[in-house]
This record gives sequence, structure tokens and C-alpha cells, in this order.
Amino acid sequence: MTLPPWGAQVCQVAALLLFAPLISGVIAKAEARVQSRSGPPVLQPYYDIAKFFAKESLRPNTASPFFELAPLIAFACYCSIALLIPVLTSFPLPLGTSGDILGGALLFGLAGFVTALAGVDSGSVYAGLGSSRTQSVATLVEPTLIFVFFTVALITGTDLPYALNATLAHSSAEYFRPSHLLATAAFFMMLVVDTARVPIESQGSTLEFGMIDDARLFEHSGPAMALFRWNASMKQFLLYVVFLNVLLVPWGLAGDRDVGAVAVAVGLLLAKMAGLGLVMVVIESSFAKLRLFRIPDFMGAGFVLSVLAILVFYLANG
Amino acid sequence: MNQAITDLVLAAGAAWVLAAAVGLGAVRALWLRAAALLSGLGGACAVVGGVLLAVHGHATNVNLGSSLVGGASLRFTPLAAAFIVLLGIVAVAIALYAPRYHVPGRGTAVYLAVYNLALVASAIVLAAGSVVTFLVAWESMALFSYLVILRHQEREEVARGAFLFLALSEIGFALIVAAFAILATQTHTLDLATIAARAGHIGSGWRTAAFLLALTGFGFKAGVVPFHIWLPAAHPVAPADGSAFLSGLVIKLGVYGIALFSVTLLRGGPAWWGLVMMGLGALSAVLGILYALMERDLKRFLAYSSIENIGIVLVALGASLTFAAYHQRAIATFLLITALYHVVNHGVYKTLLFLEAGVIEHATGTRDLDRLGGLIRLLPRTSVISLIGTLGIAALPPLNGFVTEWMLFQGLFQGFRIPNHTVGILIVVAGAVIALTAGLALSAFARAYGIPFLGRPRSEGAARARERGQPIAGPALLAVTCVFLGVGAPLVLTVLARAARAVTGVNIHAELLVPKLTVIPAHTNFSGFSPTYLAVFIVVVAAVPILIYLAGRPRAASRKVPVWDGGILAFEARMQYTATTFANPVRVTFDPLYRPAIELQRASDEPAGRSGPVHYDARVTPIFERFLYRPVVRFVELLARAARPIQSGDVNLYLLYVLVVVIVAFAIYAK
Repeated sequence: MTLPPWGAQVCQVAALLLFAPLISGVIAKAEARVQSRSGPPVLQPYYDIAKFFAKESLRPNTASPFFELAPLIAFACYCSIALLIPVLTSFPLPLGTSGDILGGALLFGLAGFVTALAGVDSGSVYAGLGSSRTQSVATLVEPTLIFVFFTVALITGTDLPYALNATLAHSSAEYFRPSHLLATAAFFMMLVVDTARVPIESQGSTLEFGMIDDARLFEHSGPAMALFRWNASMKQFLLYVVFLNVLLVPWGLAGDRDVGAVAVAVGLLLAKMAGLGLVMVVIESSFAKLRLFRIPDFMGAGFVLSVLAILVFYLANG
Repeated sequence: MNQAITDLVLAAGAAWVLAAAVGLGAVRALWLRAAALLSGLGGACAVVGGVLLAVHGHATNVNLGSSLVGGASLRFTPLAAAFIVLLGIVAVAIALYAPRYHVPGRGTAVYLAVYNLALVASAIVLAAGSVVTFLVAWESMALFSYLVILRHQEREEVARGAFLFLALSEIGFALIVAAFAILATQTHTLDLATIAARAGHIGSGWRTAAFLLALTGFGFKAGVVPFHIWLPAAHPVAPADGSAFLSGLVIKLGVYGIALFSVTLLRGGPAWWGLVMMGLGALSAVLGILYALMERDLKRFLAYSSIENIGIVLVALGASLTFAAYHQRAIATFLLITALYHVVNHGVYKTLLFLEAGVIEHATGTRDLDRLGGLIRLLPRTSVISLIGTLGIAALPPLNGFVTEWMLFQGLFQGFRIPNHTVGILIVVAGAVIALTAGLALSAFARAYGIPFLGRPRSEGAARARERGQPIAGPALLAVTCVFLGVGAPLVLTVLARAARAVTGVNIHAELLVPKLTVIPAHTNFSGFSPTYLAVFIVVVAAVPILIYLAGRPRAASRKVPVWDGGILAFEARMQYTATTFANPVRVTFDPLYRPAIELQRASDEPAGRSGPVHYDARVTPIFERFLYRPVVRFVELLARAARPIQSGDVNLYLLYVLVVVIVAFAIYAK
């Protein structure tokens, strides 16, 4: 059976919505095992989201409508990004070329922006602290990301995610270029930052002053909190998709719109993500969290990698 | 068509002259409204005329006779079309805003007169057909703008800000005159079109000299770092619509001058011209936004942000020149369109934000971000309009800033098509600097919107703010324009592509816009995006979370509670995160640049005495003022002191000077 084009596009968004919390659950479970704990069930993120939906919602008495709108806008941003990147299929779906990798990055920016504003809107000191820190950290990610985009544009002559995937998947010469590998490494470091993992931030921490991303949500509760949790896992899912399907392992996507092929693509994607999650677990368990003002050093290292990627490209083609 | 364009723009000028005359009567409310009406009508004419000019895509000459020195001739060129449209938009928005912002009175009357004359002078700058016309209009524009800044001359700091504007403007003017003088003497004409036709035959040394003089001279007006110091001094002291005019339009005239020289008169140059321009642009962009982040005064913040945006325009223009030097004419045209588009975008949202800054200042009595807060509940309409402007300037999808930011990066991505690798790498570096700028701008505008509008009011003045008779129509019009320039990007680009075709001779319309409303960066297959579809996506897709939210919500109650204060006894609004603390991580990260001077005084350093009052003062070192301008000013003062003995006040001595000069002149000419 063949899916209609829009059906495949809906599948991409559905995969994002359904499986994003699962990845977070798998990572949390694996991390607990590595640390000799039994850990929460793999489905715990789903339970959490369901629980928050059922909870009563407490709003600061001075909060504006923005406080409740922000998680909805951010949610819409993440769903829109899933329309633009190769989540399941290796060929562009309808409207899949309405935005390139840069447009996607700016949609991430919009989601982060409204979330930060919601933190400030609460009037809470801790949420304000979180907003300030996330925006400052995000600032330093941008130059590296642009260098990575420049590198892939240099190598492949495009920056449409689908075209990138196709170029890298079909040419081992392009794939094994030193610039591509360096850029991939630089993107990985930014992935650690953007998904709020050690050494930037320890997830599930309850210490206010150590928080970055989570602190923004300090005043949110009930359904809004459920959406924010969901958002966080979707952001991680999408960044993993970009890293895996566009840069690191551009294989294993559905070549046509057959239901079976799409189902296999879902399975392969989840397997790839689990693998990447295990790498994250190893990093989380072997490094300590950095001090807040040491984070720029980490970013600097990533930036240098991305600069090297560009220089190596020009030197190799010199 | 030619006639219609000419008539419309001349009608705009006539309406503004009339508005200036009527404005002089604005001691009464009726005259104030009449002047604003005329001014707005003029603006509308300019918008229509400018759009027609761009679509028409041919230069039109208007000769007004040669009774004046050199002949006052006007020439409407497609390059100026975008600027004329912007001039019109700014004029309309301010006309809608002014009657509710200004109180009828003598000061207002004079202000309206000079403001409308400044509009006329700006229009003539954009339509100048000869060197003399341009220079006279330019100087008038600067002088009228100076008077606009001086509206509240009795207040402190106003004189200083206005003086700085005028002083730097005059230095710039001297350089511009020199640049024009080189071109005029080398081509033996004062007519701009003839200069453009003959400039190819000038020696490269003269061409370079003219380019550098023009870049610096117009850079003073555009606010390019390091010639920017008048912006943060003059903007806060001008009335809100005056600041909006300065940032929305006057600094763009500097950009127009640079574009006029580099694109039209000199028709491009060696690649290093473009690289120098990109370097200056990147420096302006990143320093502008870094200083903006440290600023607590809302209008100074916006002024620094203008420096940033001018930097972005210069990067686009510089990259365009560089690509043109390597015969990549399609990409060069694409980047020229980007620069023009960004000029209009910035003009629109910065005018909006300055007008709203005026509303906030009137409503709360302060521009200090750390004393504002919670305005979204007190000034709801202002807040929504400002949010649109903020999303636009922060380059977030699907609004207008996003479109030009995307286009700029796409243009820079094409750097690999340049065979020279050093140039390629420099373009990438400029891209990274702009990326850092974009990230910082996101942070800066999260702060600039979040602190004053969200949270709780941090001072009594902010808590008392009410929406009562505030001007809404002008900013609202600009907000609608922001949305149109974002979502309607394909239409805007169609018009701009026609104007750019007339300037560079390359028609990239077919490569720029493929069917389905998608924008392509001049090379098909490289990339593409559709702001229109993205806007529709976000709105349609938002149905998903809304449905989920509504489905989940009925089971849960919603309750309003005090914010969690960490258990302290009295949580006060001023304990919230402030603009200063919000920007602190950036200040620590970029410490070597800011060199903050922190002054901390406690009542006592004993652990027991730590509950007493604490005085904390952190200031950023203004490096350009201290290390660049102060030595120059000292040097000039030194020269002045050295020259002082010449002026003794003795008339006989002065007669002796005259005699000596006459004898020397005779001696020279006698040969």
C-alpha cells in the first residue's frame, strides 16, 4: 500500500509527536543502568506528560496570556520543523522544500524566544535566570552552526536538508571528507549544548542555581508544563534527526511512500537514536557539569572544530 | 509612467512644504492635525511613487532649469526607489502618530515645520540629479535633522546629543564633498548620470580615493562603527517621532550614499572594496548589538540596535560588490536586493519601536528598562504592536527580518563560487560574525521585550501606566507592514528584482522566485524557502497543540497564585530579574571588550552587617569615546591652543595678516 504524499508528511509529524518522549525515556533508563540504578520505566516521560495534563494549573497572579500561549507556539514551531527535514523519507514531501536548514534553525530560535519570554513573564527570579542563561548560551551556538552549514554547503552545493541527505548517502567520497567529519563533530558538540546534556546541564537536577533550560519553566504547571516537557523531548528528537539523517548516518530512510518502507524507516530511526542516546549516556556518566562561565570554553572548542572544517576544505581543494 | 512618478514624488515634496507652513500654526490643535494630514498625504504619494519607480525600472530626469549654480536637476533612479518608499512609510506612520503625541504649542509648531522640511530635503537627496543638488539637499537635511533633535533644547543632554550629531555630520560632509569633487574634476561634469557614464575612465587611484572618502563620509551619517557615537547620544534626546525619523530614515540616507557611489557612480570596483565594506559592516553589527545588550535606556538600546542593522546592510552591500568583482553578477544582484530589502525592513520596525518607546515614556515617565515591567497588562495594544516589531527585528519567522536574514546568509553561502580562497574564507568569517550578531540580537530583544512588557511593574510610574489616548494608528500601520513584508516577501521581491535589474543590468527574477511562492538564492538547487508557506504552516500546525491542550485542560482546574519567592518574607517587584541581570552572562563572557567598571559599596563588610544597604554600580567602558575620539579631541584642542596667539584682538595686527596674504598671493600669481 502506498501512502499519499501528504500522508507521508503527516507520518513524519506523527512520528515526532509519538516517539519523542520515548527517546528521552530510553536515555534516562540507560543512564540509570550505567550508574547501577534500576531507573524509571522507559515509558516514564509519557506517564509524566499524562500526569501533568491531569494536574491543576497554577498561574502566577501577575502572568499575562503570553504565559500560557508560549508552550503552544513553541509546540507549533517544532511540528513545523518536522515538515522540513527528512525524518522518515529520503525524498522531499509536499512543502518539504518550503524551508531549508537555516529556516529550520530560525524556527528553533522562535521556539526558544517565546519560551524565554514566558519565563520572564512569570515574574519569578528563577525563571528569569533560566531565560537569561538559555538566551546567552544559545547566542554562542549560532556562529558554530553557521560554520557547519557553510561547510555542508561547500561540500554538497546545497543546504536543503533533503538534498544534503541524498548527496552524502550516495557518495562515500563526500561522506569521508575530513571537512564533513570535522563539521559533524562540531555539530555534535552543539547538539550536546542544545539538548541540555552534561557537561552543560544535568537533566532532572533540582538545584535552581545549576539549571539553565529547565529553570525557565519554574512557574509553569499542569497542562502547560506537560507541553513544555513534550517540547523539550521533541526538540531533542528533531536535533537528533538532523544530526543522524542529514550528517552522520544518512542511510535507512524510506525510498518511496510504501507503508512498509515507512514503518521500517521508523524502526531504523529509533534504533539510530537509541545508539546516539547511548553515546550521550556515556558522556553524561563520565564528565562533570561545567561551571556556567566555563561553557563559552566548550563552545569555543566546537567553534574551532567548525573553523577547521572550512579551512581543511579550502586547503584540500587548494 | 514617467510623468506619474515625477508628479507623485513632486506632489509629496509639495505636500511636505505645505505641511511645514501649516505646521507653523500648530499652536492650535486643528493646525497640528492639518499639518499631520498633509504630511501623511505626502508620505502616501511617496510610497506610491516609489513603488511605481521600482516597477517601472527606468531612471527619469526632471530638469528644473539652470538658474542655480550647476543647475538644480532631479533624477529618479530605481536605486532610490526602495528609499523613497521607506521615506513615505515613515512619513505616514509619523503623521498618524504626531497629533496624539505632541501638545499644540510654539515648540511643536517650529518642530513640525523643521521636521517636514527635513522630509523634503531627504526626498531631494534621494532624487538629486546633480552634485550641487545633492550636496545642498544633504546639508539641509542634516541641519533640519539637527533642529529636530533640538526640540526640547531646554533639557540637559539635548544640546550635547544634537551637537555630536551636527559635528560628526559636518566631518562626514567634508569628506563627501571631497569625494564628489574628485569625481567632478575627473569627469568634468556635475551631472550624476554623466559622472556614472564617464567614471569608468578615471584612474584607479582616484576611484579608490573617491570610494574610501564616500564610505567614510556617508559612514558618519549611517552610524558605521567607529563613526557611530552620535546615535546613542542623539536618539534619546530627540522626541519619539524625531528619533524614529533619525533611525528609520536619516541613517538610511548614509547607506543610500554609499550605494550611490559604489554601485551607480563607480559601478563596482576591485574585490577589496567589498571586503573593506563587509569588514566595517560586520564590526558595526557585532559591536552595535553587544553595546545594545548592556544598555538600560530603551532609546539608547534601540539606537545601538540601529548600528547593528546598518552593519548587516553593509555586509550585504559589501558582499554584493565582492561577488560583482568576481563576475558573479546574479549573486551580486541577489545581495543588492537583500541590502535594499533590509533597509526597508529596518526602517519599518525601528520606526515602530521608537514610536512605541515614546508611548512607554509618556505613560510611565521613564525609559529605564530596570524600572519598567508588566506593561502587557497595562498597555495591551502597545504590547501587541511592539511584539510584532520585536519578532521582526529579532529575525524570527515568519516576519520581515527573518526574510532578509535568510537571504543574507544564503548570499554569503555562495562564497564558494569565488575562485580566490582567501576571499571565500573572509566571506565565511563575515557569515560567522553575522551569526553571532543574530544570536545576540535574539537575546537582546528577548530582554528588551521581556523586561518592560512582561513580569511585574518595577516602579510606581510603570504601575500607573494606562492606555488613554495613546497614538495607536501609526505603529499599528507599521506592524501590518512588518507582517506584509514578511509573509508577502515574494511580491516584495518581485518589485525589488525589477529595481535591481535597472541598477545592475541582471534580471534574476526567474531565479529568485520559482512558482509556489518559494524564494531561491539566485542559484536554483542550492536552497529555497517560502516565508508565505512557513507562516501558513505555523498557524495551521498550531491547531495540533491547541487541540491537545484543550483536550487535556477540562480535567484540570486553573488557579492564580502568588509567584514562588523562595520563601522570603516580602517579595518585591524590583527583586525580579532586571535588564542588567538578564544581560550579565553576556557581559561576563565578553568581559575583555566591555571592561566593566564595577563599584560595590556595603554598609559594612562584617557578616552581621550585610543586611544593610548595598550600592552596586556597573558601567561599560565606552572604548571608542575613550581611545579614539578623546585623543582626537585633545589633539584638536592642542592645535587650537597653539593657534590662539595669532588672534590677539588687535585690529592693526589683523590688517597686517591681510597685507601679508595679499603679497603672498601676488607673489604666487606673478610667476
